[in-house]
Amino acid sequence: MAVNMTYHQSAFRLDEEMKLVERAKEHPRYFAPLYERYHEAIFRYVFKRVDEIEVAYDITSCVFIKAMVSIQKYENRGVPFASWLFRIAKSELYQSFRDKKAQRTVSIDSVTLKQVMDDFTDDSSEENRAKLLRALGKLKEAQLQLIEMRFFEKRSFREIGEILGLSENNAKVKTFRALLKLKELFYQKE
Amino acid sequence: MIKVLLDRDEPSSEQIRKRMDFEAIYGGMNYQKWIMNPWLYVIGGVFAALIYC
Repeated sequence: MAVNMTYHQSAFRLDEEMKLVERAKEHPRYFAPLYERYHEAIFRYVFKRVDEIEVAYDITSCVFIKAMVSIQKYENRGVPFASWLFRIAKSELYQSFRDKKAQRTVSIDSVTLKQVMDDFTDDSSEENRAKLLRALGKLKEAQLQLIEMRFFEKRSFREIGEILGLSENNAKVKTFRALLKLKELFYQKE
Repeated sequence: MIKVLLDRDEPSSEQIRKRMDFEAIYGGMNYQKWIMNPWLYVIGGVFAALIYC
């Protein structure tokens, strides 16, 4: 499966990014290059999980305000700065769901849906498509997150692990289990 | 309850860039820092005490 390559960076690029982070710690105005680099990825991550675009813009703004306010607490642990931003985005999203400011949404395109369905059945009829969508809705949040990130957003296990605070192997195992669960729900009689 | 949206239109990079201006975020951060400043509440408290005394 093709994975999103924009996230994986060379050691040189990580070093260069750390210099930008150190500069942003000196003054929030210097956060601008990091903002330019990541605001679209964070927006798209949020947008896929909420039903209203305006809410997605608001949550993304909150993510960056929070990141700028707390950048002094950021420590370099050898993972891209993006994973720290995605973690903030994840926590802001769940806060919005708890406050009922946003509705938990799964955004998926027909092509990806068919690819996921091909793992379960050769019959990609309208009925099976609806069945898969219902099965997705029945997954637990933690499992849904893994399916979303791996299959709908084509993230690598390393990236998933970094965003969710898991090791790469653990992310792989948990994603496999989530896929099994989805399969089980797909074949479950209603 | 989870809502599943199929083949949803996504805004273009240009639309996102126009809508999410760094200056607005920077202004929002300054406001956030300002309201989080504990001295604001200390001074506010002193003023309130002076008014009521």
